[in-house]
Amino acid sequence: MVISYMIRHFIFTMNRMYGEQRMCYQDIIQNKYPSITIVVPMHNEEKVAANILDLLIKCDYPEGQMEIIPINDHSTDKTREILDSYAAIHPCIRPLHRYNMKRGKPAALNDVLEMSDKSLMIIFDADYLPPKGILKAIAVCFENPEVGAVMGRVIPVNASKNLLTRILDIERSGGYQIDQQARYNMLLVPQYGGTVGGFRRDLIIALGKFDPQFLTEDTDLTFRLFLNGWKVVYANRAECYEEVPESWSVRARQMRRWARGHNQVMFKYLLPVISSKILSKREKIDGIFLLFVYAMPFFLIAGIIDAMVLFFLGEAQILFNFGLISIFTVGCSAFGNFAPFNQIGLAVFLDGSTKRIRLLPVLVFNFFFNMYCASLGFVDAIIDLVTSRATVWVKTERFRVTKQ
Amino acid sequence: MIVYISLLFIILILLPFLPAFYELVKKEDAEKLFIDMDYSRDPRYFGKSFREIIKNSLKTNKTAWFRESKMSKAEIIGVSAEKTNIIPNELNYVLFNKGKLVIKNSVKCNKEIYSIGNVDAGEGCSILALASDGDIILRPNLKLIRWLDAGGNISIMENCDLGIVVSTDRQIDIKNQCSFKRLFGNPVRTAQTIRNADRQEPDVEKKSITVNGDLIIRKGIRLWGNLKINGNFVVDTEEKVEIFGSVFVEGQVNMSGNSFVAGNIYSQQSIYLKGVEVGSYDSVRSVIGKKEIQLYENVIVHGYIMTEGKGTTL
Repeated sequence: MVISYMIRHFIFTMNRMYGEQRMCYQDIIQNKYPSITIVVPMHNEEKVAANILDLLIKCDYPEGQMEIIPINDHSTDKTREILDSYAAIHPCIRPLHRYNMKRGKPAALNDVLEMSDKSLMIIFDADYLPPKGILKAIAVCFENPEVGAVMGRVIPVNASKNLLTRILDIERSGGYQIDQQARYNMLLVPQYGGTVGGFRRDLIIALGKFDPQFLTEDTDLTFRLFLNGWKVVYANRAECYEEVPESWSVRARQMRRWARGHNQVMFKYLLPVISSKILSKREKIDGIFLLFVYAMPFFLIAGIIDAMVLFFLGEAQILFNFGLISIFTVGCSAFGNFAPFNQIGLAVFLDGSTKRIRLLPVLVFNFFFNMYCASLGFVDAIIDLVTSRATVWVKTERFRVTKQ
Repeated sequence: MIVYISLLFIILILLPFLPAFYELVKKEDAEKLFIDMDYSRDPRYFGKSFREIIKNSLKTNKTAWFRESKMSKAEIIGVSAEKTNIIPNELNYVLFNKGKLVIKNSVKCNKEIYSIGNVDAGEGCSILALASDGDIILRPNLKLIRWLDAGGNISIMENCDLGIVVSTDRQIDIKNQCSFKRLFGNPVRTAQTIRNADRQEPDVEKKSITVNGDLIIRKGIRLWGNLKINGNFVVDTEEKVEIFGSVFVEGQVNMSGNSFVAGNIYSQQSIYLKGVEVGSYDSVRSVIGKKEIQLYENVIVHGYIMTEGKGTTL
């Protein structure tokens, strides 16, 4: 399993380095754009709420074709007051205050699906800083009738803060500049990431809206779209700043929530993906890889523990097979150690900021950290599956002090 | 011995991390990746921003002929207030021209030009970049290195190399044997007359279609809605073909005859158009072909034409 993921990383990197790059649709220029609802889910976001609203108002989009619905989801700080003050000045802002219903992004998005009458919904998390041209860049992709959702690129705004943010910065580069773009190039399964992206409103209603039990409604949507014959498009030049966690504990909670939600999706969609008659062969293979991304760390930990136990019990016969161990060692070195590092190294190179390549060796710390957190998330998802317990949305803490 | 081996072990463990520690301490490349927060796609960006730079640079010292000015680097700007300025020889300074401008045949303009009045660029000229608030005529065999932007109409004669982008909000007439990357005009036309100006979009429900494979149209037809074609798209008929939507094609687009596309034409491969009208005066659209675009006679595109490869008129 590990080697197959290593090869996957390697292929993606080679595709970005030498393969043919598919154009996305941001180059299209037209003067008529579809109507859009911009949704910004917020729970206690007083540190960042004004920031994103100011930027969204400044965005370049035809007047009358856009509305902004910031969702105040059970906030207990000043989020409500901030949203109401903006709504009083800007008629295009229509806040949704939610207090007496289930908290969480999927449930909140379902409410907006009913509240809006626009054809597209574009989502930003509250800590995001959308540039002026991003709405057009995302909306124009829906001219292609096959496209059900569009995903833009996320760039950390607080990259320079500390070791963690710097690691996350280069990790994001690899994830978007290489991983997502290569999947788009190769007609695989680019992932809708739930923010800096959008989807067709009528389509999501027709597909049964969002399941409030899921912690990663974005991954759920990705698979529902593909299984119903729709595509997700990755728009590498629809770039937007985000704030990444600045403390390891916040990052650990975020990673654990992602892994838990992603594995919930894996349990639900693994068989439908395998048996789908709509997905192409390459989409199926990549879909399965994508579903297992957050299960892999658990299997990896289990494998390492297993190997150590066997070694100390003197049962690790494989170690004495020189041919086999050579293949695994060379394979791991060539594809394993180098493939993800190649991926991030190339991404940083493509982004034109080459000196941060020096940080590659410290990714090893993040590798073990992610492996631990994602494994806990996998266990959470198993417990969810067995007990059918209700999930609780955990907000990622913000660190912004000054207005960006 | 054990101490030395332990020390060696620690050094070997830490050695790979040294570059990372250096970068963490020195922070030589720690800034966030740059996003231009004010960027919004504008096909006339070069021309507009150049005009701004020139105007800002000339705010002081309004009388001198040559002025030292800070553009992206220190440049000398020549200012001409003559009614008609004629450039007879090689131009090696940035020129701000207040009247009409005539560039003689075979003249090399190695710096940017901004002319308030109309511009007539002679045969075989080479121009780095040119902005005009009036009309521009490019005579045959002209070579544009970077960009050209006009406030009025642009007329391009045969065998011109059109650099990176040619743009105007008004009309571009382009003769054959020209090469281009990006054109923006309303319309850009290889034809001499506007056809079907009264075309009305029918008021019916649109239905988008996805085709897995090639789509070949050999008879007149009207389609309402966007098309996604995972193979090639061919229109091969003299009968009227009207598509009230956009066309997205994974393969090649080859349209000829008497066709109209109300939306965009987008291909991951190449586009060949002959006798095709795209968009309308009040609905600007795009024709984008990744590898190649060839425009034959009777093509009218209201909006943007772009290729990463080579665009030609034939």
